[in-house]
Formats: sequence, structure tokens, C-alpha cells
Amino acid sequence: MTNFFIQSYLTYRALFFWLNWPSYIGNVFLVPVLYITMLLLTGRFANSPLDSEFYVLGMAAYSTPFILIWGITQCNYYERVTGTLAHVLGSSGNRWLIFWSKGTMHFPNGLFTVTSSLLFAWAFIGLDFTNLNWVTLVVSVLLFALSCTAFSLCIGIFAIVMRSWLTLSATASGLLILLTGVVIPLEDLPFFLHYVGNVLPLTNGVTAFRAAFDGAGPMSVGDHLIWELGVGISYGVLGYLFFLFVEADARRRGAYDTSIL
Amino acid sequence: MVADSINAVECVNLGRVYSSRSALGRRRDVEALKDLNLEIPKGSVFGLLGPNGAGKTTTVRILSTLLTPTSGRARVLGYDVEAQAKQVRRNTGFILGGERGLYGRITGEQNMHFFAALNHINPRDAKRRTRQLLERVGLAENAGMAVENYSRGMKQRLHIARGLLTDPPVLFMDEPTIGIDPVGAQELRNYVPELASEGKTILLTTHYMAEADMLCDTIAIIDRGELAAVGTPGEIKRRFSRIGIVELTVNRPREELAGEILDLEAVERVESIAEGPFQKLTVSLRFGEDLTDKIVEIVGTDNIESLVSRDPTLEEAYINIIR
Ligand SMILES: Nc1ncnc2c1ncn2[C@@H]1O[C@H](COP(=O)(O)OP(=O)(O)OP(=O)(O)O)[C@@H](O)[C@H]1O
Ligand SMILES: [Mg+2]
Repeated sequence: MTNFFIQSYLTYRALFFWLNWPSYIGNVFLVPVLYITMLLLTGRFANSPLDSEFYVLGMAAYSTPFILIWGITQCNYYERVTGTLAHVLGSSGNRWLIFWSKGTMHFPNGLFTVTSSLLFAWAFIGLDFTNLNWVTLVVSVLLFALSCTAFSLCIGIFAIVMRSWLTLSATASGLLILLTGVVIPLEDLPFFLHYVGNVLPLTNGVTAFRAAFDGAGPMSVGDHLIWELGVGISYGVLGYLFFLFVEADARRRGAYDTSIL
Repeated sequence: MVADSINAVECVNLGRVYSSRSALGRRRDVEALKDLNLEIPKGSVFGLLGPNGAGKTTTVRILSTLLTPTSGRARVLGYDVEAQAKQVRRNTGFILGGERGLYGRITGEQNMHFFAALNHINPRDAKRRTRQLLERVGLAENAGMAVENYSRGMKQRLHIARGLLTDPPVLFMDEPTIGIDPVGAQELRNYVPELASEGKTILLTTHYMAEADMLCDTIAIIDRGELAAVGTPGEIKRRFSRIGIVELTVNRPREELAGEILDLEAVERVESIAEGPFQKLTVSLRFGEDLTDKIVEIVGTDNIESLVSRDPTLEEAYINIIR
């Protein structure tokens, strides 16, 4: 267990290129603030019938997958391009732990960013905390941070295969902003896209998260919370299986050091 | 399992074909290894030599489970590199060298700790081993420096330290001394017999003939993926260089001597140089011929200051094989 944390910590220090003060503060704290402000203003400008709380909470929650996706895919990408992947996979290291260790240290970032977004909304936008059910809030945030970590780890394996992280992160985070109901209510999406939202992380978590601010107890949104957990576990298992497949395939093709896998 | 066989490594008809596709989707196959057969006895130092592209790195990658063979099979300590990759990894260390393969943003020490954790070494042992190994490869003073600021030679040393982290009974080294200055290279070469004396089996590839000659019990030369020669350095030199060398120093120089010796049957080349008051002759002759008597006859017994017959160098033998 200690080794798992040493591994997680060092892989994070070694491969997370945003781990310097300007990038870290920018991406973990400033980007969400900008997004929240931007959407709030757009919503007002467009005379949206939805109240501003809908956007503020949606974007605060969305800051979690944002930092997780961009952070984790870049770590996987750099593992490949620096040539350390061959050494990691040539070791007797446990594959399940290797897979998760890429996300351990990012998970807290997902929690920090949503927390600071909420603080910002409280201090500057007057987000109303009076009806808040704290238990629902904490549980929903933990669950969607978990499912977004698992989702990002899964996307991260594609970053290894495709040797790219910018396009991938942009695509994945774009999909989430469109289809998880953070800015566009799911009912407003055309029929089948509604279903897509349900197999993405965050969709159910954010519903529970919003309900928390209306005072809903965890039991009343239990199905959403369980669904969010299920989505997280599914991406975890899927990503891990995909990782094993990529490893076997790379050994077959001799592709650890070539530009195209 | 045949784990108690006397061979640490066995390759049987080992083959590897790389397939790649061009941008237009045209398939191109490169046959990097063809039916390679190798046996490396436990506890020996085995050198793999060959020109660029011969398949040395490919062999090392297959044996360290980074690559699967496309035909034939390979075993390390009796474990199949494909079917029992896990056991192979637990018992081997590999040193690929080069600029890549290390984490630049963290220190040398942290790199070691990371790979120790990965290999399930408990943290206390990891610290101790890291300290020992960094000391051993001469990196103790730079242990706390980010690896991106290491020189090439320092990176190479770190590669070696990492390869030894798990104290594996079998070690694969791909050009371990490349990029290291002569003194450092000599230092690293000294580890090889040291490690061998600890009972480790070592497979190393190199382009330095003197290194192979000095370190290896057995040498295999491969060319275009095929085994061209295998034997002890001495055997290779004798068997594969089709020349023998006689060097003699003459008291009373005479210009015609060189020509007279060259007229002898089986002599291929004679070089003559003045060495102070003496004349030095280097005679290359067809291998297996002994012309000492005839040469002495021509020169005259009392005229010979010294005469030695020597084997050609490994380099001379190597060039003969590869041509
Ligand atoms: N990943 C790869 N994809 C396609 N071809 C490859 C790949 N790796 C090596 N090759 C080819 O396989 C052959 C053997 O390469 P290998 O790297 O094993 O040679 P080597 O003996 O190590 O050479 P060097 O002395 O230059 O290191 C070469 O023709 C090389 O181009
Ligand atoms: Mg090579």
C-alpha cells in the first residue's frame, strides 16, 4: 500500500507538467472561475429562462472532469513519449495498481477545484447555501470525482495509443460539457443523446449535486448516486482491460518506441 | 519447469518480423531475427556483437519481455518469455540505455524509488538499495539533482543502477558503455566481472571489440538477424580470421628482406618499418600455416633480435566474419 502511494506520488511529480505554480493555480482555480463567469453572463445575455444557479452549479461541478481529463491524459501521454512506458511495463509491477496510480494524485485536484469554485460562487455571485444538505453535497462530489477519474484514466489509455493529449482532452471535455447536463438540461437534448449522457460520468452526480442545494437528502437522490458510482466502476474496469490489451498489442508489434502504435 | 537447466537463457529458432505500414497503407516487413539459436550458461558473461541493424537490441527486447517473438521461442531460467513473462520479469533486469526511459523532472534518487515501489520492494530496503547502487555507479553526489540536468553519462549510470535495483540473477545490457567517457566506461566495465562473480548471468551487446574481448566468456556475432559465429573470444579469433601474424625485429636491416619473405607460399602481406637501428617486419600469413622456420632461414638465426607469432585481434576476426 505504501508502495502504491510512492508510485502514485512520483509518477504524478514526474509526468504532470502543469505541476508548477502558474499552471496549477491557473488550471485548478482560475479556469473554473472564468467558465462560471462566462456562462453566467452568457445566460443572462441570452435571457435564458433558467436561473443563474443552474449554470453556476453546473460549471462548478464541471471543473472536476476538466482538471482530471487534462491532467491524467497528459501524464499518460508523457509516459509514452519519454520512453519510460517500456520500463514500467517491463517491470513486474502490478498492472491494476499501475493503472490506478496514474489517477490517485489527480483525484484531490478534482475536489479542490469544485470546492474553490463553490467558494467563489458564494463570495462573488451570492450562491445560496441556506437550504444545502451537506451530506448529499459531499457524497455527490466524491462520487463524481471518482467516476471522472476513472473516465479520465480510460481516456488516458487512448492518449498512450494516439500519442496525443490535447485533441483527446478537448474532445472528451467537450463531450462532457454538452452531454452531461451541466449547461444544457438533458431534457433539451434530442432523444438518443439523452441516453449517451447516462453512460457518461458526472450526469447523475451533478443532478444529485444540484439537488443538495435544494435541501435533498442523500436517500432521495440515491438512484442517481448509485448510478454515478456504477458508471465510475465501469470506466475503471473498462480502462483497465483496455490497458491490458494495449500492453499486449504493443509487445506484439514492438511499438513502445515508434511513433505510431 | 526446467528451471534447473544449466542454461540461463535459451533461444530456439527465434525469429522476429516487424511489420509497418506506410502512409498509403502498404505493408513493409523487416525480418530482424531469423532462426536464432543461443544458449547462455548460468553465471557466464555473454557478448552479442554485430553491425548496426543486426538484431541485437531486438534480441535483448525479446528476452526482457518488451517484445514477443514472431517465431521460435526463448526461455530465461526456464521460463518462456511469452507465456511466463511475469516470472521472467521478476528474475531479470534490463538496461537499454540512451537519453530516454528516465523521468527527467524528478531526481535520480526519486527515479530509483519509483521503480523500487513498482517492483514491490519495501520502502526501507528501497532506500538502502538506492543509496548503495547510486554510490556504486558514482552518482551519490548527484542523487538529488533532477535527471533532466544529468549529462549523458550520468543518465547511463542511472540506467545501470536501475537495472540492478531488484538484484536480478539475469541481466541484459544493451550497449552499456555507450556515451560514457573512457575512464567511466572502464569503471563500469569493472562491474561486469564483479556481478558475474556474484553468480549473475549477463548478456551484453557492444560495438567495442576490446570490451567484448575483455569481459565475455562467450561471444556470438550476428549479422542480418542470423548467427554468424559463436565461441570464446579466443576461438572466434582463431577460427574466423583467416590470417596469422608473425612479428619480427631484425638486427641488420636489409631492404630486400620484405620481398623475399613475401615470395614464400602462404604469405599475404609484409610490412616493413625502421625502428631505430632495427627493422621491424609484420608478416600476415594464411591461417594455420607455420612459416617460422622458413622465415628464420631467410633472415638468418643470428640476425633475429625477436620473433613472435600472435593471433589476430577480435576486431580483425569480426571484420572477416561480417564481410
Ligand atoms: N520497432 C521497429 N519497427 C520496425 N523495424 C524495426 C523496429 N525496431 C527495429 N527494427 C529493424 O529491425 C532490425 C534490427 O534492429 P535492432 O535494433 O535489433 O538492431 P541492432 O543490432 O540493435 O542495431 P544497432 O547496433 O544499430 O543498435 C533493423 O533493420 C531495424 O530497422
Ligand atoms: Mg541496438
